[in-house]
Amino acid sequence: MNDIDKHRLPPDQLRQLITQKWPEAVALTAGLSEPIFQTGIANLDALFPRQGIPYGQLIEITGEDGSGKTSFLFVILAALTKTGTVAYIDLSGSFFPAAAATCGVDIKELVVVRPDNLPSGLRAAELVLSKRVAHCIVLDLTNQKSDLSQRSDLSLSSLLHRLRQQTARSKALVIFLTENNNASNPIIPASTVALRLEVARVTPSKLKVTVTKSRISREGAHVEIALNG
Amino acid sequence: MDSERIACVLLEEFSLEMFYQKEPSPAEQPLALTEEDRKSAPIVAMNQAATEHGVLINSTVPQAHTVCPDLIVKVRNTEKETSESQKLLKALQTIGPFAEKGADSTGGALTIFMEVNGLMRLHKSETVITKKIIALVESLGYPAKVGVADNKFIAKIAAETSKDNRFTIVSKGAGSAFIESLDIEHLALSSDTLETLRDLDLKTIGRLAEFPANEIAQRFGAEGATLSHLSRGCDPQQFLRVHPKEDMSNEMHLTYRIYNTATIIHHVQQLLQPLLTCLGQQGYACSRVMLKLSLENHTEKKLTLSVEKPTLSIRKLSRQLRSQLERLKLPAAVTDLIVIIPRKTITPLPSRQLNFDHHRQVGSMDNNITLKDHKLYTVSLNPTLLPEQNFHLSPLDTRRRIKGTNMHDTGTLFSDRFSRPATVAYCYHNIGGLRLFPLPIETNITTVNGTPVSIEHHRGDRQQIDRRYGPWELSGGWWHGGFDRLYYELHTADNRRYLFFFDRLRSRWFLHGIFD
Repeated sequence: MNDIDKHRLPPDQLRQLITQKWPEAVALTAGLSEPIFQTGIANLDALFPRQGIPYGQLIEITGEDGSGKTSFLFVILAALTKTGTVAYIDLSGSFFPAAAATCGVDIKELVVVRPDNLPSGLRAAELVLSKRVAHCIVLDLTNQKSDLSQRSDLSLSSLLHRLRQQTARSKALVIFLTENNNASNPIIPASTVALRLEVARVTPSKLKVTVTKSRISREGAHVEIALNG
Repeated sequence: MDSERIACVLLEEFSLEMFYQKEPSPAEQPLALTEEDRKSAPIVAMNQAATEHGVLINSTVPQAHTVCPDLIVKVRNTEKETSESQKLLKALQTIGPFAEKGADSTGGALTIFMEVNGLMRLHKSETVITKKIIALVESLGYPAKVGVADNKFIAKIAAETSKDNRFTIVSKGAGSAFIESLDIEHLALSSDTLETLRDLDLKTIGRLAEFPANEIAQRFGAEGATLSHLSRGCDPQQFLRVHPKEDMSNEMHLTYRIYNTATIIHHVQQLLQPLLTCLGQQGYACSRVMLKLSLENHTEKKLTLSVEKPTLSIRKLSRQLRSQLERLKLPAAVTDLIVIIPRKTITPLPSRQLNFDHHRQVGSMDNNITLKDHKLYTVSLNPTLLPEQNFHLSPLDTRRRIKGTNMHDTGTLFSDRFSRPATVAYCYHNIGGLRLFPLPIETNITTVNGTPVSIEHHRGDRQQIDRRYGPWELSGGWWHGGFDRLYYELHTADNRRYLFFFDRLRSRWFLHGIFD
């Protein structure tokens, strides 16, 4: 090992160091060339340097049971279905379209895939992207017991890697919906997603959304969102 | 993109008109027409006098003579009818290019459907277009009725129900409201189904639409499935633009010789691609391709590539070509290639549910959207009692998207134009964020005087109930099985909301969903 290698930091640590020292610089340079998607929630959009989330990214929305993550997802989908088709890959089998319609999701712009297992779901997502069926894909992983990060199955990590590449290529948006009942052990590996939003319920009609991981904005920022009805 | 608008031009007594043109006879003379010159041939059309005597469509000649001995029965002149209908079609194409002859309907009527979306750029309103159509058909000597609506089915009903004005325009999105008060006989049902529905006191289309689609499908089979769609104002039939009038072909004369399979396939693909693209743009697909290979030894080889379902996939056809070429082992090099798509094998492509316009900006769109083993479903909402029946997933390749009519699926429960459920019959608050379990989970609930006070989850932890709403009693399913549930919306101290029901038939509690 030479001297340079001794001082070389692993990429994650290096990124963390730069983020701590120059957070604005990191936030401003990420996703500059990509088109952006505005959620329609002004204070959430304001967290991002370009007032919106750049396309071509993997995003994770996480929260505990009943935390409001699905309601929050539907609010985002309501905005996304205004501009195009959204594919909902329902691995949990608990997606309830009537609820989505209540939140303003245009169900005419929604296609649903119900795969049998996670690898199958990831492949379906990749195919949907490659066929350009939708400009946004939701992977509902809420009932996934085992963590992707803990799995020994190499094909899963390669599938995730391919999905990330395909997302960037097709300039689409992929949203993972996960259950975060064990915060120290996230369902999908931390390095996979560009943005992780953690949802918690403050009151029955108010949610707190915290940016717990971000390559495109400042980590730790949070906003409160009021739900209709 | 605008939603589809279709005009239906209805010539009610077209077969009779044709007959009277050839053999004039008094109107008061009962007259019926059959398809063929034999006794058991059913009656396909008749005049008013025959109707008044009680003659029925589809009855045989002897049966008709029993009720009306003076009835004159003649064979309809199908050749003349075909030539006249073609003339009419051509005449109507002077108003709008996309006109299609409807399937033969009972009573010897002629229907022609026209696409009127594009015509709005030329004319002020749909009323102007409709009047122009009526004037044109009248100038050719036929009385016509016209209906304009979002799809062929409603347009036809609108034309049929037109009286004094001779035209009816059903405004965009108002199709299901228009048909709900009409009698179910407008649905063109088999006599058995019609009788059964009347026995069940389902006399209007609106009354029928209130029933869950799956129950109707279970009760009446394939006819029921179509019926439930139609009763909600959705028409599974696609508007067909101009059907190719002759075989489509493409050929290539080679200045060089080709020997190997891969090269032949490549050349065939080059010939096929423009043909399939052209078909796809018109909304058609083909199920057979003929291939003629001229060989260097002055012989010719003919190959036929057939697929089970109509396709636009060049890959599917190429795979078959490869296997045939490998079996065939050509004796000499290929000098000329001709690809023919026979006209008879060209059929309408099942319409897709997606609006791809925005994707075209991103990149070229692959027409083949099958995802290997993964089925893409489209969502429709149903105004039914049970939460699990509030939506329906239909495979993308078998169900047609009808723009602007999906909201009709939502009926009264999902009433407004944004498909937002107004109220639901099983919970108090907004259902936004509700995740419904595919199978309700049996759960232990502690009750005091019948009121739930705590929940014991399957993982063992117990939660006290802070607030409770309900019960809402949902019972029914009288066609099969039946259900009787008491729904509760339960809130726990940590702000979690659950949807539970007590199954009165089994005396058990079930967790049906969580508000997330």
